[in-house]
Amino acid sequence: MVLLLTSDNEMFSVAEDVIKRSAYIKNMLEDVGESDLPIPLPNVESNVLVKILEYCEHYRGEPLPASDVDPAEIGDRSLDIADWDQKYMAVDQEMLFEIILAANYLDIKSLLDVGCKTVAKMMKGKSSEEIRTLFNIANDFTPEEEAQIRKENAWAECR
Amino acid sequence: MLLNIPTEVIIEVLLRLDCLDLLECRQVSRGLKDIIDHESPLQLITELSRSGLTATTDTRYKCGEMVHRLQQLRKRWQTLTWSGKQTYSVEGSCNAYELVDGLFVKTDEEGNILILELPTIQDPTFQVLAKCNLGFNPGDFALDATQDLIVFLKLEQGPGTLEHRRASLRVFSISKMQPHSDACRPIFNFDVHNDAVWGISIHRAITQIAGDVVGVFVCTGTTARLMVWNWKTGSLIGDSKDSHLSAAAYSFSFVSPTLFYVTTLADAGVIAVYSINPQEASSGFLHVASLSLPPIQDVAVINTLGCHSEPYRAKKSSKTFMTSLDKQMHVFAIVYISVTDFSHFNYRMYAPASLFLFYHALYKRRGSTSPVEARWDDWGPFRTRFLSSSSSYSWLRYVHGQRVVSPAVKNTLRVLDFNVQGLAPKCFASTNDEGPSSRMPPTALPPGNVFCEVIFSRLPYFETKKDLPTRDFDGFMIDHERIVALGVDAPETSAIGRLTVYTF
Repeated sequence: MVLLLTSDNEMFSVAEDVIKRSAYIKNMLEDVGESDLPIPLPNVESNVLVKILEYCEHYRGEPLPASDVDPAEIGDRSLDIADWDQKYMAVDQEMLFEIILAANYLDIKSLLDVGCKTVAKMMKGKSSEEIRTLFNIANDFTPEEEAQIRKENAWAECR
Repeated sequence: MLLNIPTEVIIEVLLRLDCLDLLECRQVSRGLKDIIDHESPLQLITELSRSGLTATTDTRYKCGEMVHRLQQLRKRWQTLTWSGKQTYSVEGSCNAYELVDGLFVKTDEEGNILILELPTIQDPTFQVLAKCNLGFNPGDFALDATQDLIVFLKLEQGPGTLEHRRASLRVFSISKMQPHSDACRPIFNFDVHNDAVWGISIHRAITQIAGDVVGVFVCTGTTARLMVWNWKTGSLIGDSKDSHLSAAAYSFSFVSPTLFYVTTLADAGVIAVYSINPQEASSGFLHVASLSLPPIQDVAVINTLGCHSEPYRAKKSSKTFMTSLDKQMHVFAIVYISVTDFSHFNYRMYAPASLFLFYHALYKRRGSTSPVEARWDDWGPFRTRFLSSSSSYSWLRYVHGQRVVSPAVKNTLRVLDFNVQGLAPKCFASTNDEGPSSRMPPTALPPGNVFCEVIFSRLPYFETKKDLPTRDFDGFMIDHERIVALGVDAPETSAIGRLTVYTF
């Protein structure tokens, strides 16, 4: 068993083969070896870690995916998400970004991938104004800059 | 929320979007615009889309270098500015040839084959990859270098009968020049029906590969036959003998591994679109749509309806960018004859693959079993360009992706480019913008000897011209980074002579 200590000081005891989906923890265990000391996770709150462990538990025993940015894959990445993952990701936006941040910090590639796909799907086909509303982003362009960008983007409408 | 997560994670999200989504994101905020404008993998998405291309598996280049190369290619094609010019003397005669994936391949009557790797801007030399004797004389061949595949069409010299002549397709590996190891059966035998009146004469034989399938279309005077095999499993997918191909069938081309069309001289000319299931033996051809060409005068007949497009490649090439499937242009060479004075009228029609994919999708959506009947007015005026032509092609491979090189007339090189997205925005600013290339207005062909009414067509394109300083050429071929000019030194023979490659 591995002990994990969250930012809000909650202790979790997790099976090694479950948490090894996190490359960060896997590497740490390999470097440090057997230890009774808890691994501190100052960037992860307990409610997020519960969610992360739910994911790792579900995929327990499945092989770890290898992934790297391959230029050949640019432009044809699929946005298909497995049914279980879709249900898992059906959380509010705050939790969604917490999961993504934690997956990034803990280096869980497949979870980060699902998280990014979920966000990308939310953005797909939306106008810039809709994206601003969706993520509560302020428009910090001047009207002149906006006009300039529209001009730069004009080629895509020329069909 | 989104902007609170680390930039590298935002990039991971954006990498999963397409070009149009990224252009919207550029308008959201400074933060997002900066990321999209400065991250080369994201730039690559927009540049590929702008060029109508998909990525290569060439590992020598990083994303940033690919972006640069795409921008460079676009600029060079818009001005027809090549960076290198190399010439090669081709020995011997030529009865069939191909230009695919940077390879020029030709065969002669003695069964000699030459495979030449053409120069690129990085490597300005010709490399002879193979020069050998096949032991038989291929009538035609097709190749897909991404599958290491070359398929020869061989007409048997043997006796045959009065009604039939034996022919075969031979599935070879390009690198080994022996039967392909992925093919269950390396030889497909079939009979070519002899014409009752004209005897043994094959007017047209077309061999094409599309992924797992290989098709052969043989036309003898008054009969035509199309067969499609899965070359890996060795099973016959369809044979027009069973599924009724019009006797007026003129030519054939794949659009994708599951879609092809047959051009026919029925009525005023029809493009019949069929779908197939490459994985199911004997599943046959499913007629999904018939696209009728413009109505013509009673005193005119359609005499030729040839078709041509870039050869299909199954996998991403390690050498070149690939055209997005739906963007590939199909060129139709059309000849009408006036029955009053037998004068000829030549036209060329240009249509993107998306037209045929659209009718396939429409057929599936309708859920009916009868093919979609589309009149010219339904599809022609907005989805094609119909131009009159004064010259005709004597060499194929004149279309690659969205670019078409015109037949050689004196020293002038003319390229039609149907990717107007590649044009700089300023070209659209005003109509009297005198750039090296500008967008063409709609075409209106007047009624007269051929057409009953004005034939409008307005698929956007632009044209670039350049005079070549050298001797006359007999033909031009094109791929995404080259113009290959052919110079026939001795027209009485079937030798090619000179091959001059302009690299972009």
